[in-house]
Parts: sequence; C-alpha cells; structure tokens
Amino acid sequence: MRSLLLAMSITAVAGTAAGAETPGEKLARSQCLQCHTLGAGEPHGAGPNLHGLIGRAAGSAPGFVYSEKFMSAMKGRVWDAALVDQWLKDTQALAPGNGMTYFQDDARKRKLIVGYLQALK
Amino acid sequence: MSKKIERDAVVDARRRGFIASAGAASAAALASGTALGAATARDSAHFDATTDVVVVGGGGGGLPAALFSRWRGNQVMLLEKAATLGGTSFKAAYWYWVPNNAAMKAAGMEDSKADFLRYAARLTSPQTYDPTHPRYGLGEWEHAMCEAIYESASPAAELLAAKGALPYRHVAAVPDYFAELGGKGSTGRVLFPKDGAASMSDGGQVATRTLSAAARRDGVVIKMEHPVVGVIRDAKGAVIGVEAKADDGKPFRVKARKGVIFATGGFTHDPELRKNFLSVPVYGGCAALTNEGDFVRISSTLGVQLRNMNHAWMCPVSLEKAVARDGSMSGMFSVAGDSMVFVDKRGQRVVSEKLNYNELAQKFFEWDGYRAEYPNLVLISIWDQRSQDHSASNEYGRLIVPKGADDRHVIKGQTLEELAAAISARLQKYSGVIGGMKLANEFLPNLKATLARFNQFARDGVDADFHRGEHAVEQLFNGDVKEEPGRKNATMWPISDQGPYYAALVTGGTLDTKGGPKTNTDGQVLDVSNKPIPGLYGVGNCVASASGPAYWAGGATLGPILAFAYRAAHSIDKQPRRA
Repeated sequence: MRSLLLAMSITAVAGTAAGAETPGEKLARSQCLQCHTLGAGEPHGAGPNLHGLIGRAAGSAPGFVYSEKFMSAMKGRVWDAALVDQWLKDTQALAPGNGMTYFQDDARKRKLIVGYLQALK
Repeated sequence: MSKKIERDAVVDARRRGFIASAGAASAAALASGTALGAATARDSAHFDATTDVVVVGGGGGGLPAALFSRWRGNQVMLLEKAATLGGTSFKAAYWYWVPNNAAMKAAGMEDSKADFLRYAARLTSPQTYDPTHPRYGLGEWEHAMCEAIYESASPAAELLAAKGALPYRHVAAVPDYFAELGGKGSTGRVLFPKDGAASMSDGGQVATRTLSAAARRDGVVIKMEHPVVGVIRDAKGAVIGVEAKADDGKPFRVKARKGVIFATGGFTHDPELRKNFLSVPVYGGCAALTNEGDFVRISSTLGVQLRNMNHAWMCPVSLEKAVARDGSMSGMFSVAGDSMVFVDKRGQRVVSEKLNYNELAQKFFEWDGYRAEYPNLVLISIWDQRSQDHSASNEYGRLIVPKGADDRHVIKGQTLEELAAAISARLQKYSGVIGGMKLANEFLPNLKATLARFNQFARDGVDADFHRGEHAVEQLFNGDVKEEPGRKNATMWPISDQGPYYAALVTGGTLDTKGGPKTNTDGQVLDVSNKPIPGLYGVGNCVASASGPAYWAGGATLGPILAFAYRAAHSIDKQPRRA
C-alpha cells in the first residue's frame, strides 16, 4: 500500500505521464527509499520525509528527531539545489558524524536526484 | 579455455544434483538467469576489472572483511547490491558480543574459554548439553566454530578500533541473555560503537559511518548497486571471480586473484526460501530489503552443504510494517511500557512481554495441534495513557511512539469496548494474510479479567503467570517508564481503568536468517566432502551459523561475524596471487 501511495503521489507531483518513470525518479527511488519516504504527508523512516525538501530549512521536518551532529553543522542552512548536491556528494563531509552515510561520486546521478527532488513539492 | 570452464561449470552443477533436490527456489533462480548460468553464459576469460580480493556485500560482515583484507596489503573491491552501505547492520543497535574482550581483561573480569563454551553449548544444543563432556555436548563443527569466536572476536575488535574504523566503548554491566546460566564471563562481553547514544540504540549508524570512512580512506574500491549474480570458476573448480550486474544494467565481471568473500546476508526478504527452509511462517523482518538469499542461490550450483537453514535471529515486529515491507522497520528489541500487556485473540496473556526478543518471537509460532492453528500468530499489545506518556520512544522498534512519529500501526479507543472494535476492524484489514484470524467472542470479558489479574501482579511486583521482569535482561530492556519510588518490579504497573487505550498488532519476524553454506573456521565454504572450495569464503548471515537456534546475547550476531571476517581475511591473504 505504501509503495502504491508513493507511486501515485510521485507521478502526480512530478507531472510525468502515468506509468512513466523518469531517470531522476528511478534513481531517487533506488537511492533514497531504503531510509526515506518521498510522498507528501508520508511518515518518516530512518531518515525524514523528503517531500518539499528543496527550499526548506535543514533540520525542520516536523516530528523527525535529528542528531546533534546534524543540527550543529546544518542549522540555519536552507536546502537549495547546490546544498543538496554537496550533501549527496558526501553527507559526512558536510555534517561529520551525522546519522546518514551516503556518498555519490557521480555528478550526473546527483544532478538527476536533485532535479527530481526539486519537482517534489 | 573459456568453453571448457563453461562446460565444466554446467556439468558440475548437474552432477552435484543440488538443483533437483533443493526444489523450486533454486530452480526458479536458474530459470531466471540469476545464478551461475548467467555468469557462465559469456566468455569466462573476459573481465572488466581485476583485484586480489572481492568482497560481496557492504554490511556488518562485508565492511570488516574488506578492511581486514585491505590492511594485509591486498587490493580489495567491495560490490554492494544496495545504494548505501551498512546493510542490516545500519539499522541495528550494533552491540557486538566479544568474549574475553580486551576491556574485560583490563578490568580484571574473568571470562575463561571453558565458561564461554559451556554457555554457548547450553543454549545451542540444550538436548545434548553436558558440562563434563570434552565439547560440552556440542558437535565437532559447532565446537570448533565457537572456539574460533572465542579466539578471534577480540583481536578483530581491537584491530578495528586501533585503525579508527570502529572505536568502541565497553558496556561492562550488560548481561548475556541467559546470564543466569553462564559463568562469571556472562556479564561484560558487549562492546558498542564509541560515539553511539547513551541508550545504545544507534550503533549501526555510527559503525556504518566509521567503517565506511575507513574503507574509503584506506583504498577499498567500492561499487554500489552492483548485485553479484554468480561466481566464475576455473577448470579445477576454484572460484576466480564474480559476475555482477552493474548500475547501468550491464554485466560487470571481476577477477579475484586470491578469492571472493561473500557477506550478502540471509533470506529474510525471499518468501520462497522462507517458506521452504524456516520452520515458522514469518512475514519477513527487519533485515535490509536486499537480503534475498542471494548466496543460497549462487552457491546452489557449487555442491555446498546447507546448514542451520531452519533457524533465524528472531524478533517481534509490527505485523503491519512487516506486511508492508517497510524498509525502515526495526525489530522490537525492547518492548516499551510498564502498564502494557500482550494478549491473544481470546484476550489472554500468553507470555512475558519483556522476554528477550529472540525468545519472545518464538511464542507467535506455537502450534495448537488440537485446533490446527497458530493461535498466537498475531498478538495484540495493549497499553494505556500512562505508558503512552512515559514510555513512548523512537528507538528499538518500539510500538509506543511519540507524537509526530509514524503511528499508523497504533489502534485507539476511548474505552476497552471501542478498542476491541477497532482491533477487530484492523484484523479484518489483514484477514487475507493471517488466515482470517478474528477476535474470539469472549475477547472483551477475558481482556477485562486479564487486566484485573495483571494489575494485581503489578501491585505485588510478581507475575505469577509468566515471571515478567525476573530475568536480568528483562529489566535491561524495559525502556523508559514513569518513576515509581519503592516499586519492586519496574516492568509492571497496573493498567488504568480509564481510557484512552492503545493497541498494536504484533507478530514474530526475523532480524535475519542464519542458515546457508557450511564454512570451516576460516570462513572457507565447504563442499559436500567437507573440503574448502578454493577461493570461496562466506561470513555473516549468508552462511551457516554455529549457534543453532540460540541467541546467546546482545551482539551475538555481530561479534562472531567480526571474528569470522577477521579469520577469512587472514586465510584469503595467504592464498597465492593468481596471475
């Protein structure tokens, strides 16, 4: 049920034709869904829900408990495309000691993920 | 040469006969081209990359195995199926159980090998246990594997700490799950990632971070989203490489000059393997979603001996999360609340709710031969506002969660009547996967009687039915409860006669399975004549655990895994480097 809801909300939000999965969506789902949800209003997983991430203040998802290390490094910053790109490159370089370990060396993949997240609002 | 390798591999697979005997699972894997067939379908002489050691899987077994191999001067390539490292261990609390560890020695805490082996034997094979027997009643293989854990878990932990890959703190007061049955060493064996929280729930995030950082720092080549689909063997049957499916969908073949270490986890998320090998009808569990029995399938053409396939590391889970295959789900390693009970569909308690998770999880699968059903397949956790206010937590997979957390699994009612109706409705929603289970007609009156009886136990501090809170570990895993000065048993408090009330559906799940090909004490995968298959190693939940049904202690998963990762890396290091 969760994945169904997710798929529905994603297609609606990203404005793609029904059933068609863009490369960005495909990549975001394969990279993020283990720990995050993407659909509007979906509950947090191991990480916070990512709907509307771009444009919001870091550490501001209601109900998600952020680590101290994350907050001390990221508080006061706003997720824009450049910051998310930097984050995906190496989460630990940006906020050492935070709970998320992810590093994406491929700039093309990062761009696709960021592009998809930008449309998620 | 390549044709010969291919032919040999196919002949080998037929000759060993495993495919025919293992039934639908491996046959299906072969038909879909996910096993060795895929790897031998192309020119075996062609490789996309070459390294000394290939490690398959970047979780609790693979990351340490890669590091230990790298630190001995080998080129190492780690192939991970998922998009992130850590596997199941990322979600784990990451306690690791290390007998006679350096911190114990430094503190003068005794943990003799004999005590350790006796304790392991008592729980692994209670039916043959004999404290006067030379192997304490363990089989030769189990005994040797347990000795290897005793000898190597501590050196492994110390090396990881010294290299900054996994600094730890010693939690000296943590008892083994059956410390009452053990010797002096049965308290103090647990180590925990140094920067983890005081509640010791987030070790997996910390360990994944520090182990990954060390792997990158020290030059382990890491390929994400590269699931391995088969091994490549030479004419003599030695494993000389693997074939993965690259993130662009193309085959990616890696030559391993010294060998391959599999650390791909168990088969928690493969319904077919679960159904055919586990003795209980679990819905899955909290293993990484990529744990789909890959090594069972890949090794099925190699003439291996599958062992301990019927057992798993078990834990209670939310029925709804397990059915939804929620990737963020944690097993319920600590059941929250004091004014809280589990009842069955008849409204009766059946177990100590605070029993350690592996033992508690067995209760869901008791078979009622008279009624021909699993009467406890789904139990209902019920709590009141007090436990909601004082015991809510985001940790350890607890079902009493704070405001703002995912609470879709929580069922609410202002009165017990309302609660029962809401529970019925929720069960109805899952009717198709729980055999149509419904609350019994007598549920509500029974529930009221159950609560009255439990409340008296709570006032007395003694659970005369199920002994809740009498094991040391039950107190350890009690979680936050409201302070009540002077009470005798902190695991219990009377459930209010005023609503609101809360409930959740609970069943048993697997943290992960613990069966697979049998290895020797160096992690070498053995063939049917007990000879190592050259170049093939396995560690962790993808291979047979010598623990049998036992869950010896918190961290009895990861501690032994570190020991075998260490031993496998040493053994593979000694292999000649093929041209």
